[in-house]
Amino acid sequence: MFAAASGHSFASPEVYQSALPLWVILVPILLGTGLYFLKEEWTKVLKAISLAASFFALAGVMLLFPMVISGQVCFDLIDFMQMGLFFRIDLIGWIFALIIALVWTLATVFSFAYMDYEHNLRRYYSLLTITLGATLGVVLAGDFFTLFLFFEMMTLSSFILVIHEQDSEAMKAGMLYLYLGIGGGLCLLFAVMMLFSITGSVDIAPAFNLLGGQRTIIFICFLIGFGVKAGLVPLHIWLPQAHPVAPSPASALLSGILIKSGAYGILRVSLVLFSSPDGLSDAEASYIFNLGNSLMWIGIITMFLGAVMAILQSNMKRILAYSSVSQIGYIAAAIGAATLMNREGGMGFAGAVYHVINHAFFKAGLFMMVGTVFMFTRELELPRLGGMFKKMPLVGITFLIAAFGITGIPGFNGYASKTLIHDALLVAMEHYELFSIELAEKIFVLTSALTICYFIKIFRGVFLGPVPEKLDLEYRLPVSVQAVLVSFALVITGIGLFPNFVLEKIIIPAASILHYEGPAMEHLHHFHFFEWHPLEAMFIVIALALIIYIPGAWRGWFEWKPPWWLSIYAIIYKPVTEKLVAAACRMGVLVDSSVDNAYNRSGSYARELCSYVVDIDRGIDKFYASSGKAARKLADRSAEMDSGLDHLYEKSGEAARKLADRSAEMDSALDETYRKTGRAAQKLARQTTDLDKVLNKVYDQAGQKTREEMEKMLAEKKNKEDRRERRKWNIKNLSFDNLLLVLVLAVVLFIIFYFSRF
Amino acid sequence: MGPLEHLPVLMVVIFFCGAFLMPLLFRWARPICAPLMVAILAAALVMAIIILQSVYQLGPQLYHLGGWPPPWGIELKVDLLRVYMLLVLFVISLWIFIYALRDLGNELKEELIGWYYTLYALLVGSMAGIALTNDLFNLFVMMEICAITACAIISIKEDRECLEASFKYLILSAMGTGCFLLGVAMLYMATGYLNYDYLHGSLVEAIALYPRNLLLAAALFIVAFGTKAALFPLHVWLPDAHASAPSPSSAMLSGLVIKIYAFALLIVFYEVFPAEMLQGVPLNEIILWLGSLGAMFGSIYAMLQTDLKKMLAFSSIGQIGYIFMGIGFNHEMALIGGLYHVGVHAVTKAMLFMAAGVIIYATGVRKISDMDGIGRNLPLTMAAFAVGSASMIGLPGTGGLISKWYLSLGALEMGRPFFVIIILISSLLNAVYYMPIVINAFLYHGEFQFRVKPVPRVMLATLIFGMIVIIISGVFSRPAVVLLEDAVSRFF
Amino acid sequence: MTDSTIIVLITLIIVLPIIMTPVIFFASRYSERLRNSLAVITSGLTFALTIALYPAAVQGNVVQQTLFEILPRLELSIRFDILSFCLAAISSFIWFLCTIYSLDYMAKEHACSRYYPVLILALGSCQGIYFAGDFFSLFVFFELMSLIAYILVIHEETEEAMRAGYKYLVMTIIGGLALFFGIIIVFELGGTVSLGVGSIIQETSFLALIAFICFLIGFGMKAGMFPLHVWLPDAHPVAPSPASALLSGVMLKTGAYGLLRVIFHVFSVDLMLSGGWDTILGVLAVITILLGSAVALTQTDIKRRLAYSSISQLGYILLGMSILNDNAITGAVFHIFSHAFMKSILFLAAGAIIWKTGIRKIADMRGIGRQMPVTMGCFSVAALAMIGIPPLNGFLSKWTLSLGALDAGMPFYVLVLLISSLLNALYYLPIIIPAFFDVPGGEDHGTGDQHEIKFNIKEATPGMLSPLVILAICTLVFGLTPNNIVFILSRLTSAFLLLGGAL
Repeated sequence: MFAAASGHSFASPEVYQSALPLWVILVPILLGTGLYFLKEEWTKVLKAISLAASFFALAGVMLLFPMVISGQVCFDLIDFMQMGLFFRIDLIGWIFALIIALVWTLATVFSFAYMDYEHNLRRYYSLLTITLGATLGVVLAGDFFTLFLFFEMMTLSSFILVIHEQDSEAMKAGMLYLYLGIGGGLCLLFAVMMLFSITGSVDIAPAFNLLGGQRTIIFICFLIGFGVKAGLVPLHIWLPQAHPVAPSPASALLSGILIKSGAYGILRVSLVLFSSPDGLSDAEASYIFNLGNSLMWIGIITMFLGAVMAILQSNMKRILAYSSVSQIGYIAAAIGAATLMNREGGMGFAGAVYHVINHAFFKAGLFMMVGTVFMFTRELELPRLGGMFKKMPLVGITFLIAAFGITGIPGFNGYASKTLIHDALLVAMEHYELFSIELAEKIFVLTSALTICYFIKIFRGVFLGPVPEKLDLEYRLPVSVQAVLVSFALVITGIGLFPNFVLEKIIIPAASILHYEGPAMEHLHHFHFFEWHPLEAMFIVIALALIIYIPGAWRGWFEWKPPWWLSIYAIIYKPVTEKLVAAACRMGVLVDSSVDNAYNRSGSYARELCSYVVDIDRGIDKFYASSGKAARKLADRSAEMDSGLDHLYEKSGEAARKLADRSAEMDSALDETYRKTGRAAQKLARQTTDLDKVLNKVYDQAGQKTREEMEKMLAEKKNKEDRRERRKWNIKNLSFDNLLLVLVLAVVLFIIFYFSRF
Repeated sequence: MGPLEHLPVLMVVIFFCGAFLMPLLFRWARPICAPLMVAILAAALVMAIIILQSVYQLGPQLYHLGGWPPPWGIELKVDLLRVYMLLVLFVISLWIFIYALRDLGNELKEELIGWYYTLYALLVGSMAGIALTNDLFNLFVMMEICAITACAIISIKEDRECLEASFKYLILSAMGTGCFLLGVAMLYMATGYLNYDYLHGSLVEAIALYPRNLLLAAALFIVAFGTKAALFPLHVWLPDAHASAPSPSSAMLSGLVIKIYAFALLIVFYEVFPAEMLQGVPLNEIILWLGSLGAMFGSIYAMLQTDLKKMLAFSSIGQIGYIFMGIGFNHEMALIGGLYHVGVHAVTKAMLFMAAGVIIYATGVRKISDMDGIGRNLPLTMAAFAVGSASMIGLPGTGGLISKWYLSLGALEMGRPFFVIIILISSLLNAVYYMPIVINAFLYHGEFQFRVKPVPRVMLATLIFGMIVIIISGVFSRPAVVLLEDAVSRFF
Repeated sequence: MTDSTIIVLITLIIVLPIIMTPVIFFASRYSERLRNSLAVITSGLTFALTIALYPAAVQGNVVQQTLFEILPRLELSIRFDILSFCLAAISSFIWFLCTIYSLDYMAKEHACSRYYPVLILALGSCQGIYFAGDFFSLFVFFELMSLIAYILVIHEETEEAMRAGYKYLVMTIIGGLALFFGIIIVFELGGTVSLGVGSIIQETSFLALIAFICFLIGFGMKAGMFPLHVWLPDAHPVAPSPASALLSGVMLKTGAYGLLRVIFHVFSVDLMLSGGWDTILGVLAVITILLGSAVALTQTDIKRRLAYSSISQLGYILLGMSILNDNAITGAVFHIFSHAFMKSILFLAAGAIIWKTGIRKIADMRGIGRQMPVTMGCFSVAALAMIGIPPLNGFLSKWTLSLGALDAGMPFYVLVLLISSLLNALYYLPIIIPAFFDVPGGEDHGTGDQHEIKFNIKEATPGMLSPLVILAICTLVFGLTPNNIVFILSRLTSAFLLLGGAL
């Protein structure tokens, strides 16, 4: 990773290797973790350690300055998380780190008094310190991977600061913060991965010309990822919910510092990553212009909407939260202006960085001042407050100073940065002469006026007017609180009075890292804040503010509550999250249960089918059974037939017997008849015998004569026949030799016949 | 060779002699009956092993009964295939007999036991005869003996159900035998031979002359053996017969008797019918489809049974389907799978029936739904049941998987993955009805509701033996498979 | 380390638990303490033996040894390579911790003398899967483990458990049969099923596609892949918590392991790509991820939510496999480790909560973090890792997977991963945040602004906490540290696989 860093063409020749950045990050994180294991009762120890941690961070950052001003500090932790951790601190990062450490120290001191009224100190201080380390890690990171790691860590640890109160409102706000933070983190991760897979490195270095066609997706993912944290519209919705519910020092840090880490990311992406060391072609330049223009418009919209929303709130912390949205819009607009000007965007860059510095001080200061009021009154609603100026003059004065700062009254720090941003817009307008930029400038002026309006509103509400009876008490501010508030006021006035000091000492060297050039840069080198031209613009703003505020306050415009459907939450998030998540879940459950059902259904169908199959079996069985039955029937029939035959035989037998009986009777009757006839016949026979004897004698005598005659005739006849027989040819008469002759003849004939075929 | 030469016939004859002696001895010398039977079975087993060795050394052998050579004399044949069948037959019948020694007293009247031994010996002897014979008429005779003794061994338990079942069996079996005889007659008419080898030789020419007759004969054979082996649409007699018989008889019938007919069909189809005959007409297809239908439907029927033994009987229909599929694929791998399944299913189903017998012996429970929680009271029995179920499903580590492996491989080699799916689905169905029994037996949260008698050690020992055999057949299956590869390689 | 040493070690790793199973079973008749300590010793010893193979794995030793032939050309064989080692190491590690956890958790439960032997037998078969040298042996151990796991699933023996178990069983058997079909086709096409160098099947064909689908069904079933996941959300919640930790943390991975082996040893990267089969796997993986996450969001029972989360997480691994490049495979293998750590923590922590308080509904868990800070602390670490919060290991695997997807030119997959991460956040954060920062329903909210949040510590026993803490440390260490052993192993494995099984 280091090798990639050395190829950074913008890098100053001086590269210092130092482990100091690591220690600056690690010590707060380790100390913070250690704090969690201490006892709740040791408040002094808790305070001391957390203060020591922030002092250490501050000192560490300060120590980096000599190296940073002349080059970069690098530190590489190879192989950590397989990608390695890489820190590289240049002046831009250092500025952020310095503000972080400084404001954090002040906030920690402020916490001492404030948190005495709260619970769970151990967790608070522990997480506060860890978040410090993580936030420093974000700005000290040398590549996007490291940046992402600390970014996620910051989200999680600050989440616990947000929900410190743990009532339902805090939990709700915290969950919103967390979900958006994680969603944003995932977008960031996606962008980082795309970057890594396309370029092979996650270095924060110009890579515009390497990115190719997917640069739009990468930019959008980065923008969403950082924009969530920064609170760009429409990703800001967590911010007005989370900031009011957190303890005031925490909200001071959230508003003053944490959202800047988002801005830091946007700055790094659009000004460093999306730039090219080798100049741009026309198409690329116009691409960059469009990118910058969109970013600027996002910023303009954010600032305007934030201001409008702020003016309509009655909860003072919520006003400040919306104010933060609005102010981050200034920064985004400035970064956009810087981006669209490409190499000549020095003014925008300077405005953005300057406003980051200023906003950190006045917004953190404002939250702490409001926090001080809350600490004693336990009241955040403007209508129920009032007259605090008398009760807490110091708070009133510092608040006024901070308000002057944020509204851009000349002599206070906001004036310097707002002037720079305004100038950046003007420069862009002159350069491109586009109506959209002109419109943006007009909105910028209007928003600045609105800013004044809501600060008049909040100041009137809290510090002026009669003191409510309930709050009519003696308030004694702790020294630490006083010291913190005063130091904020001092810084704000100091920068306001000597704006060129910061500009020349820090911001212009920082801008030189990015090699800005052109007339804007020249102008910047000799920038005069207290000339008529910028002052005039500011007076116009103040006049405009008065024109808006006086009738507005008189007619009560600022108490108008926008209907629910106007809120971005109701328009975008609620339907998207609810419908989308619900739809996803419903889809998932539907698919899941239908798959399950399909299995069960098919199982039961299969079972049913099986039972049908069993019917088949029964059918076969039945078939056999019925055929068996048929066979039996057949058998029965045949048996019947059998018995019928039997019967027949029996009957015929009977009949035969009867017949036999009858015939027997007949027989005996016949017998009788025969016997009778026999006797008669005997008699007859005897008589015939007698007759016979007589006849015999007669015949004997007649016969002897006839026989003699017959013998004579026969002898004659025989002689005649013998003669006839000798004449006839008969087979009986064939002699053997004749037969032989025939046979021989046949054989000879056969032979002749047989052979004649050939 | 010497006396060893006569071993093939001796294996059959000692059973018939034993059968003759048993009733006599049972009257006069009751105590020696059982040991004598065991000795006969063991002797047969030893003979089979000796023959196996000699077949390995000398190749297939023919034995001419009484020295009469074929085609007139009775011929017995010994080759690896037959020896494999004999080994399965003797091992399992010896094993079942040892189990039966204890169980019979529970199911039969005392004085019938001698007759039971007779029937048992006759049954085993006739099955050995079916396996060994090399001619159709002898096969017919042995089949008749086998059928009648099988009926008797069912109906020896004197209750109405048994009588009815055995009567049904007898009728269908007689029908089968009739078909067989008709088929034999047709073959004889066409060729004039009954000896397998002679038939095989002359059928090639006879096909040209009498294609219809021979086809009819083949069809008749399918019907005949199909009926006896309970091939799918001809299975109706089986569930009643197997379920109602005494448990050792059920084990014998389901384990061996139906297999021996499948084996006979195999022999007839592969040894007798020439390949040309099977090419023209899709007889193989018919067997294959009937087998796969049986594999599916048997399992489905079994799923819906409530009586344990009836379920096992239906399961046999499914499993015999696998064996027929193995025959029907007409592929070496599948045939090995089918033959391996002959052995595996014989062991498994016999063991399952024995386990069912033990359950009935110990508790009197027959209904599946009453068996919830029985595993705690009869852990070993139910473990055996579980192992048997695993083998039926074809879980790895059991023999069932090996036979399915070869069957599926054969199906794939024939390019018919469809039948693999059938095998898998029927395995799934097996799981569906076997698994819940095992699970409810062991993991039912209630207590078993019936009184449990102690189970004799011998019965448990036989179950343990079964478990071991099943696991060995699943893990160390290589020798058997190699033997089968050698045995069937000559058909392809 | 010589080959023979490795073989002896592997054989011991597989055989030791299997042999100890009956020993533990019979030991329970004499003394519960003996049984418990035997179980712990066995799993510990298995873990130690597995770890002893580390040098060989890193050196890139590949050992293949046939034990004996089951069938001609089909043997029972063992194999050692780095992929085997990775899976075996993580599973024996989780097993060891879960066994320790069980000692206290199961003390209240019934039928422990069934539970422990089954647990150890499942360990043996699980190791057997990883060290199997061919698909047939793998199949044998796979089925053994699946069936053994059934007994763990239905341990409670309630009506619900039995129903879930039945579903599990039927689907397991279907999966097993599909696997059988796939293996047989591979054997038919390639003539072997042994894991070797290079792939078994060289060209696409209809039958090869069927084989792939069968493997997808068989292994995908176990891994909870989309249309086959239905058993998982029923089965995991009903098992005793250490068993669900093992089911979700380790046993699901056997499916992933099998698919890895199939992709790289049966087919090959080229074959997968040319057949477009990676798309099948990819689409299913995407559906699995989104579906698991979306449905998890709607669950109210903590263990059910975790089970659906497992589905989604296994989808990551499948996605990595479908992308088939170095980063993606590294991510997949690393996620196998990560998910094992994370999901075991989650289930064990949920188990500790259920054990101590009987609470299963997420809505009732408000403020539980103040009762059981260590348990919920570990739970939170794992949940954050699941969401992919850096620097926990879940982030690293997601990062690597996404890089793989981007390398392959598929930013869509990255989007899926990120959406799923967001959904993870949506369903894990509402568990952990109210657990620490909300007050329990019954407790008084406190009046005024001084509501002190009281810690009323009622933790589970140290025996249950120590595995949790160890795993939480692993989650942290294996995300954070440079020279992350697990990550290096994943890299080596990926390289090993992509080179076709040779280092």
